[in-house]
Amino acid sequence: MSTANALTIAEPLCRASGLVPPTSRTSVHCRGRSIAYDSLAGEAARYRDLVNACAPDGAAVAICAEKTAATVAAIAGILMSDRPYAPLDPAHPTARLENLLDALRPGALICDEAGLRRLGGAARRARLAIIAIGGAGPGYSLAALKSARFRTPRPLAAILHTSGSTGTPKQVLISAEAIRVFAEWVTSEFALGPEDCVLSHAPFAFDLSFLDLFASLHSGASIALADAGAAANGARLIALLEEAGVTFWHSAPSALGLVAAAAGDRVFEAVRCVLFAGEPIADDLLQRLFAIFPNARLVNIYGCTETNDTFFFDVPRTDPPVPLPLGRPIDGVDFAILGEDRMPVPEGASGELAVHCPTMMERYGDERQTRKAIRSIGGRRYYLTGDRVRRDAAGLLHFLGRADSVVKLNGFRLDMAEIERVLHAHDGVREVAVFVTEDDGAKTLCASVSAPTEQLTGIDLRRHAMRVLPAHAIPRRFTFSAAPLPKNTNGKICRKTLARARLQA
Amino acid sequence: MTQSATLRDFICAEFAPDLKPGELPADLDLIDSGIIDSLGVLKLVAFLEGRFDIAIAPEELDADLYRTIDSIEALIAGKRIGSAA
Repeated sequence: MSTANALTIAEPLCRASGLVPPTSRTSVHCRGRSIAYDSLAGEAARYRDLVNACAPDGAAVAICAEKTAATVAAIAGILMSDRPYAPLDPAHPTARLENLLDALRPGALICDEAGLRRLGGAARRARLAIIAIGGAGPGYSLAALKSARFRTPRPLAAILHTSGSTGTPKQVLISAEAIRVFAEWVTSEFALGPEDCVLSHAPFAFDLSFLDLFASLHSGASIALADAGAAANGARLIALLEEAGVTFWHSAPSALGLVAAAAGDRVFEAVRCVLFAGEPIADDLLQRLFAIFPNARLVNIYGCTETNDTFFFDVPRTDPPVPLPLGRPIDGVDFAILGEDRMPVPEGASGELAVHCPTMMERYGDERQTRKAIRSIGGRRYYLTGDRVRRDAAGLLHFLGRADSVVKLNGFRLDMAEIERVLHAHDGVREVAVFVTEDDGAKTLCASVSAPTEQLTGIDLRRHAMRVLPAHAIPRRFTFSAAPLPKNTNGKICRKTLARARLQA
Repeated sequence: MTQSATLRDFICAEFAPDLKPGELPADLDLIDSGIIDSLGVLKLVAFLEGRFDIAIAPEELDADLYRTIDSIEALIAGKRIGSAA
């Protein structure tokens, strides 16, 4: 097995750990403490040795721990050992984590106390080597398995899990090379360097964290870690931003919403890049961001776990288009827009986006899922994103909704994403989700609305929507709440939960 | 239940279950506000015929006659006077 790719990712750590003079510059800022690159590299080397002692060659190493500098060191250590890391979020339910661990069959489990509470039992039942983070656990065990259980044809660096619309999580196997190419792109596109401090908002189990971890380590930037508590709290995010001297923000729009709500009159002049990804951003939030981050380049990023980031759009400060386009492909990204017959659509028509890129996953853990998601066009592998897009005359891609956001109701084709956009444009609407409930075969178009004031009524929103939408696209049932809509762990609105709640009401 | 209440109950239950029948303004344009569409007009006519025992002629399937609760009630009242005469 080649070691070149995995080493490239961990290279800055290796350099700092002895190949070049150690540096005392901050690498990770977390919970009010800073850890320098040299001590991070030293820690990473310790984890590398532990992993080498416990886990078979090439075996994945699961890591279930809160976001701390020690966790960053452990991830780097796994990579330095030339094994893929499989991050599991300790905030997830035990049953889900146990299922993921079971399917992973890793060579070892690294965990802190939170991770041990979740997976300690399952790991012991599987006679899995446990490496403790922070020394507060039971210490590491060398006694467990030594036989190779997990071999991969190409050096893998990470195994992530997608939530999946079916509810069954998929393993996404990602090569070291894919991460290296991505880290290089981020470093050059945004001129990321040692003077920068990157805010890490997403959990390590989420693909957004690749930028936070690897682009930072690659470029020598420091990382400000928002742990699970800070990530959901606008005031704590602002405190971290100021305390760590963040220059580079990267998160889903919902986290920026938290900051915008808590910022008041404050502005953050040191922030020079604000990247948001994961879901469309609301126009009013975008306007707030211009004010809060007066010196920042604002960038809308598009991607998914399977391909990493593939499109981006620099948001102009004057007259930004509404909604924001996905923008242009990143260097090396090739794409096709496919119709229902899975053939490329004519210029300007809408269809499903298929992407070919150097940052694409190797495969899913389940080969059948890979065959369903990957299509060969002209001898190249394209990932079918499930997103409907349109390319405009200027060459920019526009997001139209999920391919499965189009439903047929009473003989009409309805795009729930479009209806959501229209409803969201009403001043009184903070969040909205449109979905179809099915009760005894009777389908009902529903809208759940989070509105800060109680004055908004179903009549107001129907009249508003009727200005743009045909009558058959008006939801039959509106539900209002002052509270935010339920989100999944990635911060996206959970339509399935809303639909279930609607039927049980 | 009064005729007006019956009508409001039907409209809310069938087309807009989140609205309260008592809060539906009698002069609200049900079509412009997206509560009733063309398919909805047909459902409404079937309901009126069955519930109020009136006959609606094909030329009366004009959506404009069913725009508001007031106009629907006027239509029913007109039918009743017509059949009593």
